[in-house]
Amino acid sequence: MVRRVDFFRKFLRAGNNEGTRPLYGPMMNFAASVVVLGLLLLSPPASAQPELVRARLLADTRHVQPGQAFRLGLLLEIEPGWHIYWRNPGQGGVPTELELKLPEGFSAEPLKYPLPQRFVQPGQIIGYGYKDRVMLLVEVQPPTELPAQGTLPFAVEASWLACDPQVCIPGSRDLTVQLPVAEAPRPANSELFEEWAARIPKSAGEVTGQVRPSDDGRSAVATARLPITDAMHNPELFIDAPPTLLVDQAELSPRGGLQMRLRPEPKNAVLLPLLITYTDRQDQRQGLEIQLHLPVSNLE
Amino acid sequence: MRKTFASLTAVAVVFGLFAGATLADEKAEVGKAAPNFTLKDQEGNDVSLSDFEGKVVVLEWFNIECPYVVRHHEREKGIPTLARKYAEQGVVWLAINSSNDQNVEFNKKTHQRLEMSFPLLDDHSGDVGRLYGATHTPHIYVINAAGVLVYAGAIDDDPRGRNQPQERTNYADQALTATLAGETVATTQTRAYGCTIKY
Repeated sequence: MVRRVDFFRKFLRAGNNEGTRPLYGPMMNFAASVVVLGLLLLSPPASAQPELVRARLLADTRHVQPGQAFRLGLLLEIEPGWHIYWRNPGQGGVPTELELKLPEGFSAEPLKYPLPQRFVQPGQIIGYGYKDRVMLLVEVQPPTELPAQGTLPFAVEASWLACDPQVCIPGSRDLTVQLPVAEAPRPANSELFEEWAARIPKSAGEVTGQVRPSDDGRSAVATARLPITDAMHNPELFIDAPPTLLVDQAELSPRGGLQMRLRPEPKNAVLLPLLITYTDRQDQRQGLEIQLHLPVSNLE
Repeated sequence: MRKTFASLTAVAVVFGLFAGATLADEKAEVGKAAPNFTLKDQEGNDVSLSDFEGKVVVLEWFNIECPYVVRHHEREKGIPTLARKYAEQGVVWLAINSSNDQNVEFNKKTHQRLEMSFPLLDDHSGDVGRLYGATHTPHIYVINAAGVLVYAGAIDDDPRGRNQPQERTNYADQALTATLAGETVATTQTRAYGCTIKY
């Protein structure tokens, strides 16, 4: 693995991760071509890029039944030492995303992300994301009428940014799962889907906070009371701020008092999704999703 | 009582880390004077922000090993084109490399290979990156002619480069147009995307 990553770094130094490009002048060009060719011969076929993230598309059923919702799971296995990002990357990065292509008449619920971790990257840059393994879930609703026979394709285009302390490499995969139509249920991958469904946070509704302009006139301070109880150990806050609103200096007291800085001061009301993760009395990690409603500051 | 105190401390510590203590020395703030700095360019010459008093300046955090930088600089060439377009209106563009393992020698090679039309500054100590709170490459800062920081954040709203360049909102372009026309910049701060800076 180390050799493959070094190979990739050399590739990146050439300034292009998609093909050989001239390096520094014709002389270096030849030398570099020899080096790259040599490495290509030593390494697995060029079509198999170093797989930092192995992606698989699974379904929790072996059949599609008319009118019967089922789940698709995008299982991502991440090389040790690397991480990918949550639906919100934190202070910057790129979210892991999934684009769904469904047959006619099918619809899907929004993608569900399991509880992320917080990590601190060089320069104290906070990231939200995943290491090791994660399965993103999406619930699919078939129409009530389907042809009696045949197979239907369910396709996704998955994309992510994989980073280690030295390098970030974007990746994507197109995956399809074919499911035959049938009347009878036939579950599949039950344990895996149970495991990851348990890590999806629960919704705890909406909370309204307050916003006031800061003394410096360039930002605002938002405050709110979140539903934290004594039974919630090690609470961690994940703020799903949109790219145009910078939220930082967040402080959460054990009783749920939240304060944070917003830049710039919002001109309109904001609905800010928050995720609180904690450990429960059984030492299991849980999560609560809260929609924080921040009205426009009513102070001039 | 002791237990409550311990958990209080724990919570404070957790959020102390999350709170502005990240890049805690950050002095650059949109709406305030952009802090001065001096760095060596790809020829080893000192370049200071104060050299460009009275001019509109763009700072672009840069790392040629980052695929996002490669896309903007080499594949789509959006940034070189933008820099040249605004150079004609007297805007100064400065690329800053805060990668801890790259220095003047490395920058010189990059600069030559890319035929860059603007300086590439060596910040391998990461001091200027931290001063500005730069988190990713590319991370863009626009400073007006009065030396005030008027924009900080992503180059555009399309991290994956999925849309055509003309369909994207290019925050740098918008900030420069507004600044040169003496108007207020509409979008002053966004979250940068790209590769984390290798401090």
